Amino acid sequence: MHTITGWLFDLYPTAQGITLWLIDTGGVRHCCRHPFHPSFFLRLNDADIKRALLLCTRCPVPVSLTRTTRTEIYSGEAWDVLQVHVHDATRFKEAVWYYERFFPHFAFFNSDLLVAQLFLYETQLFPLGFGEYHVSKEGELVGWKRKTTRCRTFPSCGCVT
Amino acid sequence: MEAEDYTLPDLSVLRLRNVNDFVPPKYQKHLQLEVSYEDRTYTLEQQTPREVLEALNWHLQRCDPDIILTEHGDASLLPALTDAAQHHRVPLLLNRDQSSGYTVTKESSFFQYGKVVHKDGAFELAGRWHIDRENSFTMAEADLDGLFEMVRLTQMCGQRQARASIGTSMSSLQLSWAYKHNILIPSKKREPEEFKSAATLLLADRGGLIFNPPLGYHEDVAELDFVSMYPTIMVEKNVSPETVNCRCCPRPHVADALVKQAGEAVPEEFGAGRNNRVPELDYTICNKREGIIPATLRAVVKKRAHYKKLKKYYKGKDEALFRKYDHRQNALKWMLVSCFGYLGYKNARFGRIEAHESVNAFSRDAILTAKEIAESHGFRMLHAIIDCVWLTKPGATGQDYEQLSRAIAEKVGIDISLEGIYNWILFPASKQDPEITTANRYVGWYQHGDIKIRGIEARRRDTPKFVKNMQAAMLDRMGGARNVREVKALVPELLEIVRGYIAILRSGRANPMELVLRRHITKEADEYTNNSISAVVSKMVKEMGVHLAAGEMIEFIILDQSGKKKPEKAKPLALYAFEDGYDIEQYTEFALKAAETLLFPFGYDLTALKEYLDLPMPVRKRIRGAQQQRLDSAAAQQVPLFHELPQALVDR
Repeated sequence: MHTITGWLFDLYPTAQGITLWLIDTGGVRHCCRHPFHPSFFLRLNDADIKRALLLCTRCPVPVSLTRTTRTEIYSGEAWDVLQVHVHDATRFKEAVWYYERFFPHFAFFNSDLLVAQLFLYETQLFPLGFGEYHVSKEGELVGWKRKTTRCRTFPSCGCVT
Repeated sequence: MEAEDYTLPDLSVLRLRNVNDFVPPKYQKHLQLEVSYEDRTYTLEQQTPREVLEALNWHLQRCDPDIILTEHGDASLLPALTDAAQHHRVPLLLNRDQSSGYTVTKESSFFQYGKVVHKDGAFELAGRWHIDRENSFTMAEADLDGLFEMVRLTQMCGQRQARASIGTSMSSLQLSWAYKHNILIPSKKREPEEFKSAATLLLADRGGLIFNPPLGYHEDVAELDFVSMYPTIMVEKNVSPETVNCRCCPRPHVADALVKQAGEAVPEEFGAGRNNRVPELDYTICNKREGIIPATLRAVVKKRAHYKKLKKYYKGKDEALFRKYDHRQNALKWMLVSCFGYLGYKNARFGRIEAHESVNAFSRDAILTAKEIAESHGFRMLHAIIDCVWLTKPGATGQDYEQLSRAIAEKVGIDISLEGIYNWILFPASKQDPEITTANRYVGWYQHGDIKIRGIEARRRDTPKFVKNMQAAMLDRMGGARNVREVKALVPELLEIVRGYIAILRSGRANPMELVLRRHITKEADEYTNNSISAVVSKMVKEMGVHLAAGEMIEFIILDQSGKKKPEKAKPLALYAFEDGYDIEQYTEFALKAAETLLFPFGYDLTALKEYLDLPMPVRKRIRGAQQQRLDSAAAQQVPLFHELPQALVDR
């Protein structure tokens, strides 16, 4: 494993997850991968949950399902939802379309977002963010640490970089 | 990503464009490329398309750019290059990751704020960014510095962010926050508008407050602007779709009834003062949790204030840093400008009309309070538009206005700053009705030497450059006047400026490139059933083999507006030849209308200007009476400023 100190520059989905391009402080460009599986949520009743589990085996895109809890924004209530993990990041939309044939639109959450953005929201990384990125020998991004320093112009303002 | 000062990698940029920039690449049939990087420019002048492509590959390999910056790259340049590469079997090295393909999206036309808008598709690369300057709002407003800022803030990939609307950028900020807080993101907006009675609708369905200004020239007027009024209201009052009329707190009328019934025994959460109330409306705002909108906007407001501070700090000390922070604050400015409108947008994922109405109600309350305070201090309000007020008080100094600003800010809770004091300001007559003014058209010179122009010809995109230049020359001359009397004394000189420009027009010597008009077409060429200029020009463009979608722009020169002498009426810029000439009468009319905007309060409308300049008059007897009425009305309204009537009126 080696550590790249620098900036995240570009990223896009591939069948294996996400491909990332990093630029280190010496100006060298590095390419690595992250095995990211994007996911979306379904809010279903018990009968539909069973249907969804069954449909999972017939889905043309490899998917897996887990039960979890998320918050509904307007009521602030915790809702039990089904999380559908898509194992091929380039076929995320296809997996959503497959389930949309069986369930109404109001059952779907986080389902129309771009995979690259889902990755960034999930990891809280961001393009041109400076940090330490740990990459395995196989070229897989296995960890990261965002680096911060205090604002130099107005130290009293307390902001970080 | 909320960091306000940060370092960035040294990104290599390659600029790629068509050599011939006389017309957009869409109209061009041949590849004539120009490549610029590391302060050098290379023109690819090879004989065959294959050689051009190979030369481009050579430069791509040599520069290995992180960013390829093009003009019209999305709509025409890169699609043309890849088509040519396929045809001539030359693998292009546009992608840094050669194992990936290009990400291409379709162009679209849509209806927005009463206009048909066209958006080019995207042509995105892998491993490096392709940014089309002509298809990026962020680049147009804030250049690469602004784009870098937005990319970091919104967590959107560089190429996506460059092409994103402000609404999409704002959405991304909210989505990230929602994701971080385990909040479900609905795939479609699902919170319908609440039922409202007609009485509630009448109260709630209103925008910001506008006081129409009195027609004509005014002197010693100060402009005071609330600083980021709408975002500040949203942040400070916690206005958000889930906090307005939240499900956890009672509505004001329910809370009031409970308080009345229970007296002192009422539980705290039902207490009348528990929630923020929206002025005028029976809406409440939750105090128990912070909404998604204020939570995401807070950082933007703070960052922009910080960049403005840095921009001010570096002004005159370091031009590069000054520009960098100016670009960054400008990128954020548009986010703050749009955040309120987006709250009421029907497709906004976290939008809700009641939240939108609440912000408007708070803003109306703020501007009315400002008016009351100003009047109690002896100022007269001339004009107000949503978050700005124009005040006047004989003899008032900058210090007096600063003092007033502090008093208003203290009472309203939103900072208000003195934009400047005008030597003179003109509120011109509406083009539709000369009796009234319009809120968003004015021009004036500040005492500190800057000019502010809104809505008049010199600022409008649909005005030919020639006319803009004429009006700018007039305004430039008027810059020396310190009050209305001095402006009036300049009228003869202004008329001579007009005479000079009109003489050039009528001699046929005007540069046709300065007569080009730009217009967005509302439909495709085949869909036009009339014979308007847009229809004629778009059909000619289609005959050239260029497809234009609804919302795209056409550039043309008018040859004969009436179509009596020349049935083609106008010619697209790409087909125009200097011997085609131009419609002298029509362009004279444009120029006179621009002059009328500035001179109407002195009695010079179109007819008076034509008379003064000895121009041919159309025979329109019935209109004569109406024009006289307009002049009388203009003169009557300007009377308090002058002791005599304008000469043009006296002569009549």
